[in-house]
Amino acid sequence: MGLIKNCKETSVLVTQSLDHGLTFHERIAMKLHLMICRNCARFMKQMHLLRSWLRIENEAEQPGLTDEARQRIAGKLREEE
Amino acid sequence: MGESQSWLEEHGDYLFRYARRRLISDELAEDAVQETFLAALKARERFSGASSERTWLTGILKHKIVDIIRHQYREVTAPQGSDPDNENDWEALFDQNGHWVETFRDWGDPASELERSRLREALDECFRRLKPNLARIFSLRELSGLSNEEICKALGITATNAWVMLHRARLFLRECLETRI
Repeated sequence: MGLIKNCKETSVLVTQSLDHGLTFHERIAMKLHLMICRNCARFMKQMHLLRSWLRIENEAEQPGLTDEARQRIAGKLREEE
Repeated sequence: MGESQSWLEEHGDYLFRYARRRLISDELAEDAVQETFLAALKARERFSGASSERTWLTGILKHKIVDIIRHQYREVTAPQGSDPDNENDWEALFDQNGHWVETFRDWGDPASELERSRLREALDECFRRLKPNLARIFSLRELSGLSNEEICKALGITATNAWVMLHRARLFLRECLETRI
């Protein structure tokens, strides 16, 4: 398996590293390319940032159930209980 | 007051927000909450009290969320001969030598309150623009934390389908965010 990857191949390795892990060789190949390609290194960083930003939970700021929804659910639960 | 009514009062908003973040739609999130309470009513003898009530209900909710996404995913029908979920549009981002066409800038990492709320808006907007099935699989992965195998099993897709779709979702979001943050 070739250790020399281009950006397109590396982009696949980067996303796969986030989604299901890489083999030892894939990881080496990816790191080699990231060392010499600034754009891909930025891509990797951006993918990690995206992941960490999505983990920021601001749920307390979000609206809760509307009164209408709450009543509807309450009605349905009364039928069942 | 019935037990489920007190659950609704105490945990309704929390569960709704949890579901809304992962399902994006108010209607689907409301369904998820309702289904969770109905299932909890049936299962309440099995609740040992070892975890908190909220933890227990959230556990049921997580399953309902996956069920809803699975159901939504199957509804999409592709026109004959094409597979919109596995398009190679992402290949246009590279030249014939496999190099990126675009040069990326440094995103930094927004720290201030203002920057964070703008970031939140940008993320919401970009997520809304993502193709529905890509958004669904991306939500399962990033917001519900399902593993690849769990995603494939839930949606009835191959590992190859899954990685292509997640790859496309990430590239799309990257592109969308680049101009907004």
